[in-house]
Amino acid sequence: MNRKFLYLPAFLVLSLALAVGTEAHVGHDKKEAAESEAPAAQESIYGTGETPEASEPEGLGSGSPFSRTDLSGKEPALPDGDLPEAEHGEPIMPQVKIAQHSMNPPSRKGYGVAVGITVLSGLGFGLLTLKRPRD
Amino acid sequence: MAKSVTETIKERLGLQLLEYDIEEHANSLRYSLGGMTLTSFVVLVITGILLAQFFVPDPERANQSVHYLVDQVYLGWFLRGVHFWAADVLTVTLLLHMVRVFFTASYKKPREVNWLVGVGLLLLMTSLIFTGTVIKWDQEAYEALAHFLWVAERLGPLGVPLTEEFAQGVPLLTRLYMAHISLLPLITILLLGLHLFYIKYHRLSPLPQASEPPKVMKFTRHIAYLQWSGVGIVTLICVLALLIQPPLGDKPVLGLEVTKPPWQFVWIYALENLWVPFLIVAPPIIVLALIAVPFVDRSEERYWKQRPLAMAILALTLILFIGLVLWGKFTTMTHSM
Repeated sequence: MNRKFLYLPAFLVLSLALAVGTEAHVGHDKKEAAESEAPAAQESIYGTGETPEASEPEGLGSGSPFSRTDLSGKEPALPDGDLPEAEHGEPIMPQVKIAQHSMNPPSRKGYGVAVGITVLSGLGFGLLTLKRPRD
Repeated sequence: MAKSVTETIKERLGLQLLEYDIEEHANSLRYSLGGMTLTSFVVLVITGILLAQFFVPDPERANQSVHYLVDQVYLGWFLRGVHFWAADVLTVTLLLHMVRVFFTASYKKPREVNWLVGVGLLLLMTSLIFTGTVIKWDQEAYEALAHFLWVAERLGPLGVPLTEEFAQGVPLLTRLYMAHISLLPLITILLLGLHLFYIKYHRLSPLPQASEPPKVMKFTRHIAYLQWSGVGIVTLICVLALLIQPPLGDKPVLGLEVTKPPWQFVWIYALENLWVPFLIVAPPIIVLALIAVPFVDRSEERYWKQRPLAMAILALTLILFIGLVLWGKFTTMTHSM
């Protein structure tokens, strides 16, 4: 019976070990994210008014860089020899920031409710640990 | 009165059919790993349905819609976190389940078909994790898809359905989204049903070292145990989602290869660093080896101490897998496709 109380912390440690140091990529840090939240609310992607101008596709689609035939006739994103140049003539490579797992700040929308859901789930687990129906 | 209501409901719903005898050792952590994996899958389906309300499967807006969900939608960050961590927890419990099945030789007669169904489920979960990684359409997603298409283009006619050539003008991202929310979950649920049927049909595999008939209990007691472990899994997922935000980048810079894949795939990244064609060669070799297991190991022995070769292969495989994951995590890319 006592061993069961170790299961949840053991899984937690195992999963956190997987998460530590895992890297992906992101294009903005927390400060920029905080600043970008307001503009995102104004420039809603669910605009009900004007039809947004159709932008030329950059990703997959008719002008996909993966297509053997570039149907749009667009030049590839990084054409050879066409990179913008710095002052001394060296090409400027696009910067891609590496993203990482980060801690969720309490300022997240609905953080209190999320805490409540988690606590409820934990209480349920504790109750079932102490007293399992039909067991 | 309460008892008569309960009895009435049981009779109307046929719940008394669940009160059949099963082996008592089912109520142990190692024999419930499959059930925990199923719990994570259910969480993924529920959160996936909710996430789909906010996702735009168009290459121009996919990444933006995920950022909108995380930054603007009430509890959107938590929803995405639960979905992400449920996938990670599922991977861990699924792999532990596979190790347990191999360790206890539960793939042996008469359970060979269920092992094969399990291999099918492993492939489906891998595909779901891959497509889920791609549809958020950041740099990591783009490079994952680029590697996938590199392999698909080298498979000749077999790879055409997996490329844009199959449906020109339809974004591949949209097709992958369809696969992620429809085709792959549908096949997964069918195979899960088959998997559970065969567990019921062949009964739970006996303890390898048991010399006497197993003790039995009612299946409803096992359901209670699975409820407990399932709530534990849900709690773990919620804690992770509450604390740790999954990574999410901006729209990709096309033509660059600078990211590493998620940990579930970083082992093949390490192999690719050794020799790029491993991308094509390694997965079919692994799948064929898994399929061959119950047909190569046909002895009746199931106790691990009496199976030194099998245990050596298991240990070697685990060491190799963990080693490749660690090496892939810390190594620097030395090639470009």
